[in-house]
Amino acid sequence: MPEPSPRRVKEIFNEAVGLPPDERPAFLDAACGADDALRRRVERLLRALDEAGPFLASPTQTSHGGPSAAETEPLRPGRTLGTRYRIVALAGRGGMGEVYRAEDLTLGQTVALKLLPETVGRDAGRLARLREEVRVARQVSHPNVCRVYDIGEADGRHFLSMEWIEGEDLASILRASGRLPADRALWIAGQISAGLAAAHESGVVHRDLKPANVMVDDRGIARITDFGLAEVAEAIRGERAREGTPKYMSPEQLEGSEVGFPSDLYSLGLVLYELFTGKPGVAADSLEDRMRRKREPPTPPSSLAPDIDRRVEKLILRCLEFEPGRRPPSARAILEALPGGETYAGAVAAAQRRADRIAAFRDELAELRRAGLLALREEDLERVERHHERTLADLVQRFDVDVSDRGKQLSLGMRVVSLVGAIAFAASGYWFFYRIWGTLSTPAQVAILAAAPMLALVLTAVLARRERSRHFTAMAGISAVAFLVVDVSILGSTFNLTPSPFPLLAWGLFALLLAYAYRLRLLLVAGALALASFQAGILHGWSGGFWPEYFARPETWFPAGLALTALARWRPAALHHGFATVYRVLGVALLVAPAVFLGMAGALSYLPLEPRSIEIGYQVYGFAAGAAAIAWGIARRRPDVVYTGTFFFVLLLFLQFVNWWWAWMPKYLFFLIVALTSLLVALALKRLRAALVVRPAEVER
Amino acid sequence: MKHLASPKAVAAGLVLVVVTNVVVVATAVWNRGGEPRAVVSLTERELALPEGIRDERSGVSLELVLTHEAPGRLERVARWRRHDLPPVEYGWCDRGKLEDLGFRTAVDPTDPKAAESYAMQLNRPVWLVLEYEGEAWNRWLADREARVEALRRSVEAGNAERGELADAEAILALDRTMRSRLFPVDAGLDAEALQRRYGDSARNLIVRGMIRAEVVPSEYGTRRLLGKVSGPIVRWIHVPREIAGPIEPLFSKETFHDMEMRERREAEEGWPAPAPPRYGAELAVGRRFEPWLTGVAVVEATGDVSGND
Repeated sequence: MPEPSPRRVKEIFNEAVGLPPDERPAFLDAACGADDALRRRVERLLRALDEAGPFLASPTQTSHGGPSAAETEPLRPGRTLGTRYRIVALAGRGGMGEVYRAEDLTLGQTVALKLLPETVGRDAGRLARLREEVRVARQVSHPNVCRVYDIGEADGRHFLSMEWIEGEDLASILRASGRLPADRALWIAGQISAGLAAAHESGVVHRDLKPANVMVDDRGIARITDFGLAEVAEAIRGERAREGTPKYMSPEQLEGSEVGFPSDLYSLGLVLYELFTGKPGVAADSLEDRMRRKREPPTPPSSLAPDIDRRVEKLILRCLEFEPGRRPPSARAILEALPGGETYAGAVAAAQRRADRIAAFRDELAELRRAGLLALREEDLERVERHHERTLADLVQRFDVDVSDRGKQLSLGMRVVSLVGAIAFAASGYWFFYRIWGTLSTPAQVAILAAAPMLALVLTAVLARRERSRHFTAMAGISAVAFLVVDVSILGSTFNLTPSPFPLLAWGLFALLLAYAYRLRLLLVAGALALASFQAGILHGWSGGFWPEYFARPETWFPAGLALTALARWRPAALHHGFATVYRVLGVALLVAPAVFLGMAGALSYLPLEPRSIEIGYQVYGFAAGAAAIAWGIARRRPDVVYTGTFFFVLLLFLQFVNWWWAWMPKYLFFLIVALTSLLVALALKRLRAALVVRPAEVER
Repeated sequence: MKHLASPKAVAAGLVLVVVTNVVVVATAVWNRGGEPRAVVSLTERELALPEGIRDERSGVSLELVLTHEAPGRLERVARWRRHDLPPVEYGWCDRGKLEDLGFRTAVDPTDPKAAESYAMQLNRPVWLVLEYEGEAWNRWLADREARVEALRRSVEAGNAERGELADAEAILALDRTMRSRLFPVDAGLDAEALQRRYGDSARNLIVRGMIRAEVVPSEYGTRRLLGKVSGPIVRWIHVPREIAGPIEPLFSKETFHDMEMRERREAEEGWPAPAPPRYGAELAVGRRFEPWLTGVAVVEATGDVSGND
């Protein structure tokens, strides 16, 4: 008897999965007819499903778990688990246990309770690891990530409490409707990428990303679920599950290698593949099959969905590269590479603008009513108010916008205060040390100076674990770097050492380390500038100059400018939101700014030419570089580059106006030219802004 | 790949801090290891105490002062009395020497743009040879004395004012007792070669310093190119707690502002009385040509170091 067609097996299996177990035999009778081999194959897969849980199939109507045999009796509605949770209804049964909709009696909110399998509850080591995973996962706060609240035990049962999401999982949606329309698929893809980026930036690897773990609510908001729960999945799955259909595993996951961020990106590629084509990215029914074909490139998505955007296709295929190093550098990079998803931050900004408009509307409405210029019926006012409240609540949830001026001022204020506090803290340490310096022996001086940055570093790590907003973490991190600066500077004074650029290297590396570890952009700027100064100092030293005077030799900035611009495309630059922008802005600034100085004072150049010739050369270069930055920024949709290029272009222009015309031109004419030029620049910027604006439709939706 | 915000990041940060500190301390230890390249006994004139009260700093560093850097008090009084102090020029640092030190000297000093052109060349780090109370200092002092003597003869001949002579004599007396006798006598790019050439380790210090090229007008209005010593790069020499005791009573008890106001009042009366150095200090230079103090002690008014350690 010939082997049954894998495609046919899969079709029947997929349909059977959605049926209650007692209806499956009748369905198989009808679907397989007399083909016993086909039926045996499907039954084997279904048995594997029952044993292995959600890994082999899509879940039911809740994302909080896939179908699986329950290990224990279900909890009845109305029963209280411990003293805190009252069961409302059984929402689903998954490989990770039963999932209930429950009421948190302490906080008065609806939560999803996931009862853990007994295999997990009995295994102390596994339970400890799970607690650690949950602890890390709790740090992820993002509108596209389902929040995990707690892990607890009551009545002898271990459970997880998490955010309750009213909606449907992506696997069910895709099964029901096949391929999604392109704009909706893009919207969902952007959200999944944003959620995954936020999790990765918090240090959390999902390890089990698949459509069944993406929940979509009725407003189209997608949330990734089951972050940090791979430990539970592993407990259930075991080795046997690997006999199933590891559809969303990366090659390195299949091989049992260490699973990290690139592995999640591979899984994300498969989710996107399915989202845009309606078909799984890999067609392998068993681990062996998958292992055998793991190096086979996936079918190009365009062969299944001819109208797919080529950028999306290219991105998906990059995600599905066999070598982890060839995949996109980060989920953030994937988000930014999606069409229309260049700047999720842009969508956040648009959301903030919407919130601002509502606040302004409310203020103006109150004014008009007070002045008696507008009379509205109370029910109309209430309806508008309710609509605004809903909209604002939605924006807060999705984009974490500040809904009042006070909120915005507080956020900005917190950042400013953090910076001032950190600097003041370091200055306090510096002066305190100088106050006690003379009373200490040299070994004590060295010990205290070295201990200060180390203690601040440990404090930064502790605060980072306890705090989400990172205001205090930033304060401690900046202090740690400042203390290292103080440490090396005072040690240099204590031992009368000749100043050297090498401390800049240590400070820069330390600042970069903290910036990457705790996502602190200010330290990234400080670190990049310290390393740029180190490079410029070394270069100026090689030329025979006194290295700290590199600042008066603007040409020494060029290598750092080139390096930073190039590094913006480097994998780690995309690791955290805004980091690539820092590299780009600093890079462009260091490439263009020298022209501002050398265009005015050619004698500052290393070039053995007449100063006037050098000045003219750099004026031309400055305008060309500024224009090139603007053009490149527009082409690549990089507003940061456009604004940096524009700033220097305009600065150079006005400086040259002063240089060329101030002395001999009548002042009224000079200022008229400046005013007309400003007008032209403003018009040009308006057009640029129109070209760069992020589509607001995503926010309005 | 685990995220950096993990114990690994903290460990890497700690390692970085420790390594940085170890490198700094090891550099200092290596510099001071073995036989010092030079050990020179100096006085308050060459190693000046910081001016003004030091209520924010309990530690102390002494400022390494070269001959062309007049004591702060003398400079202030001269300014208030509207009197120029005699210049100290290092004639050995001429156009040829500047070329040897890497300066571009193609622009003629008489060129109208020469001053700006040389100013734009900035400082260049060099190895400076500082001779303590040697032939160069004696020659400079003898030249000063000869000029005062010439002025005295002019006054006697009725060709100059008595007040001018009084000012010159007062300043000469102050130079004799207060000005640094640490006289830069040479500079180069090869420290070892300078060490071989200036081998008197009790009189000559070789330290890292800076020189810049300047167009200097002569007495007769001609312009020439001359190197200006911007000073030693390590200017402040830390006094470790273990040896700082003897000079602690000498720290200023008044604020810088109060001190200035007092000096200004006194300047209206005349030039300050010469004040001989109150302490002496032994300065050593190590393998990396970096200095440190080996001893500080109060001295008698004669200017001799009364004893170290």
